[in-house]
Amino acid sequence: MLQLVLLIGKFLFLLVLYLFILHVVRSAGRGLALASPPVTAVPSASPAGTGLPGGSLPEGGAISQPGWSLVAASVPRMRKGTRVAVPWAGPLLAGRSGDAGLYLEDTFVSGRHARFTVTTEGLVVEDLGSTNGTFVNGSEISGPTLLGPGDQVAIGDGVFMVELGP
Amino acid sequence: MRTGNRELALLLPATLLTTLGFALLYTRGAQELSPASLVYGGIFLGLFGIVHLARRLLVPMADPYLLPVTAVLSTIGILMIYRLNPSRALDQALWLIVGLAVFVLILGCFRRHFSLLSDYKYLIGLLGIGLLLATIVFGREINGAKLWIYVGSRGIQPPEFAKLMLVVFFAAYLADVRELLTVSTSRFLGMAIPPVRYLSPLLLVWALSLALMIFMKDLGTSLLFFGALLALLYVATGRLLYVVAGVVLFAGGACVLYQIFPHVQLRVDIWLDPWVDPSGRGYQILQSLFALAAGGVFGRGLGDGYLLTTQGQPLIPAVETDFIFSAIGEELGLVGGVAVILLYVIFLYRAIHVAISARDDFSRLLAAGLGAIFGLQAFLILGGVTKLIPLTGITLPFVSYGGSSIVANFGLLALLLLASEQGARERAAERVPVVVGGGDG
Repeated sequence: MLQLVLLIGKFLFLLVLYLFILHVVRSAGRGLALASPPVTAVPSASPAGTGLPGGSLPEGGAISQPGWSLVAASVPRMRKGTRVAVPWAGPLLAGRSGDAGLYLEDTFVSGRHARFTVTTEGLVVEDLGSTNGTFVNGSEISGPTLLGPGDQVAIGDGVFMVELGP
Repeated sequence: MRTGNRELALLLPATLLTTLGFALLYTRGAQELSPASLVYGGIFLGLFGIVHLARRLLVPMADPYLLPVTAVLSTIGILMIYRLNPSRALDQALWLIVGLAVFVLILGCFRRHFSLLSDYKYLIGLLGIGLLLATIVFGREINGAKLWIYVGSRGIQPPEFAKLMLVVFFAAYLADVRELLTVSTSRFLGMAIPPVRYLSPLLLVWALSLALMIFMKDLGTSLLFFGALLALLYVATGRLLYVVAGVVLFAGGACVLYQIFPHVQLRVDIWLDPWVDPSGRGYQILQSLFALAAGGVFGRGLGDGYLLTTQGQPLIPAVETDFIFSAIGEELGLVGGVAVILLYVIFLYRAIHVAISARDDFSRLLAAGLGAIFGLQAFLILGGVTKLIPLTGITLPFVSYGGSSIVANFGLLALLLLASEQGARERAAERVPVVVGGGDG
């Protein structure tokens, strides 16, 4: 009798242990999708991604409005043609820090690298004292620089094309 | 389910395991069912319940899985230690309470001042090195390794705490200079190398870990320091070169030490062939392997293994500390042993999760470093007792008997949860402007 109790107890112990593990893995695994590296740039094909938790999206409302946007021409770890809208309401910070609206996973990009602002005159880019500088059409900028459609902005290893329109 | 409730729900299986485990041990010992195990289960639930509430109050957004996993590991540890040596189990239970208190204390101190950790990085780093030096100077040698400092009759192992401080220092330092380390300014043997100025603290640590090996005669701790440093360097810079260079440096150092020190030679020789001296030097590892084999798939059952001689002496030397996994393997079997390994994997996974979802460099690197040191420690000792790698005498985190180890590991858990909370707070702050449609923060 006692032997039987011990035997049942032994398997019960292992069973509880595994149920615990199973529960944790299933429950924690659900968060896996949310933990993927921050999705900062929304490809124009899927504007529905604004509600994604964990991602540091540029201001959601600005995407649907016509305005200035940056299109990835050749940017490391970003699909070509990826469109990032510069919000009307506030500046778009480009850099490698977590709070950058335009998050660039590139070792040549500083934490707070450059800032894009929509002004009454147009889109302005400003270097924030980055280590490797910001280049417009191949030349390094030293102060706030006005951008026009078709201009090429290089940050680190990445090149963005300035476009007017959604 | 809300994060907090999820954690509470996950603490219940841990309680159930405590109750069930003690019930089995009592039933076997006294040949009758005893309600005392319910008391242990109750105390356990009460203890972790309080800590759970504290965590919920102090860092409400932190990872909800880490604490329950820790609770289950501690339960298994206390059960095995009780089974091997009841008086030591009481000791361990007291240390567990101290550990939980330290855990709550660290959360309380740093939850609002998380940046203090990175602001005072040099102080923390110096403190860690100071602890190591103190151990070398004032330490007492026990079982061939000089890791202990005695305060009165109580021994503590300062390297356990130094480990955490150095990880905090590495993380904070690398968060500052990581960009500089990715830029190569000079070339050496055709390889691009970063500015030596910024690498020097890291070379210092390499020298330190070798010094540890020499003066403390402790392979495990020095491997841990070095491994954590390499992992952090890789996470910070993404350059495999550092890892390769580090491994080469360590291998070179280890080869030299192997030639010089008989202590190191012995470990490697027993690993290669324990049968050279089965009743002497190879005795411990062979007994460990026998115990694991005796366990089979489902184990002999808690309390039913042949872990103690008829005089009550442990068959495997250091079975409550370094070799506790062998005892688990014998009594809970392959299935139980794999469960323990899975628990470590889950802990490591959560640590990496915290690192990935962190928003600033410091908390990201801190979480990665803590995860690395924790995972590496578990791997080194699990690999050691199963004869996968040469044995290095370190504790199995949260399971092994040992006050310093358990307190330090709860400190590690607290830091991990702080990093997790920090990341969650910053993510929450990011989400707000999206809803409001306001400016960039």
